Amino acid sequence: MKYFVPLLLVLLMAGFMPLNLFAAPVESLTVEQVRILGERMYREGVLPSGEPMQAFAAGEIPVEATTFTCISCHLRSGLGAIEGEVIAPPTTGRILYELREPYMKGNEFVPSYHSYAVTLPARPAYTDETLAKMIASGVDPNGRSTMKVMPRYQIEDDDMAILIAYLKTLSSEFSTGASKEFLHFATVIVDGTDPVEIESMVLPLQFNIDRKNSLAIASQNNARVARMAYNMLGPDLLAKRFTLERWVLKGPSSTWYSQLENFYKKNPVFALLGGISHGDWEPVHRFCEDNQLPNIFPLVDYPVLDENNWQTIYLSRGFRQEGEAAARYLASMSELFKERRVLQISRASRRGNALKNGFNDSWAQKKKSAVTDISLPVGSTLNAQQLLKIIKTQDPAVVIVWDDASAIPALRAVAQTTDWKGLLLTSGTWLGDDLWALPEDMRDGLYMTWPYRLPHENIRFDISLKRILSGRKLEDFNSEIISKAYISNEVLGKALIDMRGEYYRDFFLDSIDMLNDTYFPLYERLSFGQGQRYASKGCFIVQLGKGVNPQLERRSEWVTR
Amino acid sequence: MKNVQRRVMTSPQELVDMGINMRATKQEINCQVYLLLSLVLFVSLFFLSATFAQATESPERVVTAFLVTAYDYDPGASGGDIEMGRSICATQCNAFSTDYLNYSEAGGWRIIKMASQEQLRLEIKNPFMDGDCLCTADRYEIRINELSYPDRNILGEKIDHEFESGQ
Repeated sequence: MKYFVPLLLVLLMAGFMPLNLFAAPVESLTVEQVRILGERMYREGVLPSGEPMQAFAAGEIPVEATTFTCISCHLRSGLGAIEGEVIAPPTTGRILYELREPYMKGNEFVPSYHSYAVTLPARPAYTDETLAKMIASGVDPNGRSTMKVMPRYQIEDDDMAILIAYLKTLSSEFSTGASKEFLHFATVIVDGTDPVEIESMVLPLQFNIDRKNSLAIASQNNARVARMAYNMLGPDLLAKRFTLERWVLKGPSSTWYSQLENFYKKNPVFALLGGISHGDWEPVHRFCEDNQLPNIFPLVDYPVLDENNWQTIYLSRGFRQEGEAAARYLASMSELFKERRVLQISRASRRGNALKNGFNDSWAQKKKSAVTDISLPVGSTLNAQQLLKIIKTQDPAVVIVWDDASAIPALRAVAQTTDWKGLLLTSGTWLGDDLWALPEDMRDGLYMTWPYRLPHENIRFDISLKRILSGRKLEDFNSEIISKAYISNEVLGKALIDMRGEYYRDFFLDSIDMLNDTYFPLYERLSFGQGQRYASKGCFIVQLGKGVNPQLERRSEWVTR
Repeated sequence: MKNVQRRVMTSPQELVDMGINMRATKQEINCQVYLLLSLVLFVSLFFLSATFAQATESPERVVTAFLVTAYDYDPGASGGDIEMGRSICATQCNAFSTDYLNYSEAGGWRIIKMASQEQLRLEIKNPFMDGDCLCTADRYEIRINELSYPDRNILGEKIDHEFESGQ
């Protein structure tokens, strides 16, 4: 009891201290404190006091700024975006406090720079006063009112000073890994990965880097190439030399973080491109978050699923995505089987668990009929007789088997049985090449998840892939990995062009987020959006067609999250 | 009446008078005939080899394709749910519709419309429903010769790209 009162006092002080601190004028705060408080106002719409900022949308409708945050239009980097008719100009101090003219000095004749510069209205440089006025009333230094989509924020002077001080630090110096001459990249390889798979990833990435560098060299010797490259990239990006390092992680995954620290210390790169691991990836993901290091499209089966993380953009949610899609597909027709149960049999392995958990989590969200889960121990084979017996006893509407090709005989027995009417589903990708040789008599009765574009519809992209193989044969590589690396290349190129010479990591990720949906190899659709970290969100449910060279036939649209 | 001058064939003597040696001209004519004959022979051989190549490689293949414009569900005697049936048939008919980009993007091709608004009846593919999907489709014939396909030359023969640059 004698410790209770002092403890209470300490707790009260701890509770009130931030309030006292937050009430302090900006001059009395450290740079780090301003950054933290300003960042919270900018990103979350929360005042230093912890209260939500008050804002007025469309001129007069009161809204909470936690919904209408600065970041939602001006992006995390503060470098803004143009989306349709909505223009969100940059809000970084470096740009705000400069005169804006209808051209970008030194880049007047670069088409993309030019069209960007003429889209933004010219204005004098802001001062602290005119910037505060703009945030509060939406009137710029020209006396011109901004678009109505820009809310007007009600912020006290001290808080406004913190926000403005933060804006002055926002994207003020180029990120590490970007210099006047160089842009450094690296790719992470987990030791022990199949050499063909490694080469299938590294070769396209290196090709892209070499192509960019040779374009710079060629444009020094050839005026026509120079003009084309200048128009496409602008003088700054054209002159930059790209490098790509391979960071090979060895030993147990618990040591990877420190290995990454060593690599990064020796060569602090701008971003990680690709990366390959069939097992763990969490240490790499965490390292990127801790060091604010972007990583685009690592080729991993088990991505870290955290919607609040920012630095890593994955191609998909990995194996789990097939389970999630299966749940959504079945939920869409659950009216047809009402209360009948779902029987889910999964291999007790990391892949089996990912598929099972993906299904269960999505199914639970839909609040559909009960699921019976049966786990298959590692090393055992799914027994057809036992499976038929369970089906006969439980009469489930759906039987899901998350297992490899060893389950085919059992799946065949269920697909052929006439005693049961229901839907039999498995993972098409887990069957591997055996999928294409499934016996004809089971094809009508077996449904499969397929998280890619259907192969016969993907052939047309082979031409694009062959272009990056420098004359080597596509068959010598893992075409799935080649396709994924190709996507990294394309996205990297598009993002860097959109960045207009502003080499900030946040802007790099912002620029990817703002990319339009594009047709790429392998995936039916890749979509990007602010904070979205899994580009492919869908999966097909398919059946195998008839014949010696069968095709996959769609039984669902691209089922998305 | 308008005075029309008729052109008269120039006689050999007149040619000689004009300084043209008739024998030399005959030699030249013979030479031209030989040249023409060899050209005809060359062209015939060229087309023969092209025809032979076509016959052996068969570079033009024909694909029948459907572009589905409408769909419906016919429950028949099953009494299946119309709304759910239509939803499933939407996917099934849509999947039946050819993605013509698979053909038209890769190489040379021609697409010829053969029939409009044909009605196709497909058995519904769903274990919980019976009945048929009715897909209304335009039927096309896609003739693919892949002349501009990077892996083939103008005769449709495969090219080995082993020593070519990736660019």
